[in-house]
Amino acid sequence: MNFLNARQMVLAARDLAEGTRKWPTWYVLGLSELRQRYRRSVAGPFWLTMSMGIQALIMGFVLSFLFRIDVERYLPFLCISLVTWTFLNTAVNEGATCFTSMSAVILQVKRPFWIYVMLVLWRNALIYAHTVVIFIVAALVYGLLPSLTYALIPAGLALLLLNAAWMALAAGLLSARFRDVPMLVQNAFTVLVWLTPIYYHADQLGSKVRLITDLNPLTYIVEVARAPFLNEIPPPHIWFIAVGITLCGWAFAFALFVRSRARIAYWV
Amino acid sequence: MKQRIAFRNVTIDFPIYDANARSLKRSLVLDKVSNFVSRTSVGGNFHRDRQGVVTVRALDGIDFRLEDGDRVAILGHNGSGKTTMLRVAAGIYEPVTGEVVAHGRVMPLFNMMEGLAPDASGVEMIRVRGSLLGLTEQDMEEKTAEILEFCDLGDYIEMPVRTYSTGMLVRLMFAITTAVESEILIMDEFIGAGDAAFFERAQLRLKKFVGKASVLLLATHNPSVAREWCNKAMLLSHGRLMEFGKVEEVQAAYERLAHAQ
Repeated sequence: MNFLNARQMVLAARDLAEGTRKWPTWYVLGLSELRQRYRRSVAGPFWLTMSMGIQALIMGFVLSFLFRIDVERYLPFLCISLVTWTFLNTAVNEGATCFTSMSAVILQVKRPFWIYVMLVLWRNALIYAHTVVIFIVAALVYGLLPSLTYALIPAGLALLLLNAAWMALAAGLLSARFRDVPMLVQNAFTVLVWLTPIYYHADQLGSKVRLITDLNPLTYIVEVARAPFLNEIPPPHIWFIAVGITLCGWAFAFALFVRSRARIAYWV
Repeated sequence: MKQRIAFRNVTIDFPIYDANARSLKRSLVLDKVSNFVSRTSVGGNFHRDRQGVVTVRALDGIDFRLEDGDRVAILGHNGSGKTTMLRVAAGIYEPVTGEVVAHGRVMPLFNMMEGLAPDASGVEMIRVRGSLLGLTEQDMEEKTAEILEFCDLGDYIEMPVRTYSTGMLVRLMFAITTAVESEILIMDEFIGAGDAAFFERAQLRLKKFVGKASVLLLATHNPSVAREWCNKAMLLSHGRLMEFGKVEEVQAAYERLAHAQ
């Protein structure tokens, strides 16, 4: 239909640009939503920090015992893994409902649809900032001090964000039309957490089993966003693959957006 | 006269994915037999598209243009397409067939209470509602003082809005909503607000607010509101534009239509 329609392409690109430019909308709403969620609670959003910290602590001790790794090496790794994964997982899952849950708002005023995706990303970026504290604590406790690899953190996080963005957009668009998609995404991530090196190092798998994580795109995205925190520099091929995934993912999500942007209001 | 908004042969079909096509069989068959018989007194006509999805034709070949100074009341039975037409004019539904051209800032006011979060304070609501209406930080700073003064809620403005009475809440949302100027104003039923003391001030503010807009599109069931605020009217029936002209004449046509059914 309007898959490669030039006019629809321009409109879709303009939607992305306008939605980014109208940052006060998602900035204010994101902050306000997070504030609503923790109103009148003393610890507020630091509940997220605490619950993830306790989870990491207990998992860290149990799994380091099972894996026979030193806790002081394993715990910082697990902390940053959990924080990174939680961001990706929550952003994409909330992205899947970003249009359907906002249907009342979408039908009020014409706004760029990208705003609703940015809202999800921004809210989860705020949560990331709160939860990354557990890694900092673990790193300090176990003497994992910042090094020059920290210079790569912005690049790694940018790739993580760009990938969360296209996945959230694509999931949101598909979910607006096909209401099974949110459940599908949720189930996919439940499985993917075991097929991505989150709780374990890829090296711990035998060379045959390792193929699974090597073929999993999320492995590379998580790796570039995580390794610099652990004073490791991912080899160049990891970066190339991560960038490649980002480009392919965006091409897919943008094509989907070109095709369905004008129909979102009818679907929600 | 500058043209503000134009509909060119706009048709809007809503896909209804969860409709059971079989239970609508009678309507779908009848639809092919005759397009002149309207089967229900509400809603648009049912169709079935090429993929077999049931669609409702909410607007059918709408064609008109409005210029600066037009204040248009939209009349019609329940489900005649009034709200859909307003949403198309606001750019929310993009037509697949036909074209809509609008010049200037469009401000649709379907629901003053949009974005209401019970636990937020009055001040925070101003920011949230303002950002939903697309105000920039700078706009908001300029408007906030004026909004506070008009809604006159005193120290309550720092309290969570769930502690407000209904009237106080309306005051606040009304003040925020009417603080934003626009060229094309779109309303689904007229907004009004408050107790006796507030009512007059609200009327005055509303006059100014509507006056600033170049074009008003107002869907209403209230004949006196239509006569007071509008200089033109449209009559919609089953998604078709039946009449477009002077308010009295269109109202008379609407009454004839209502009696005929």
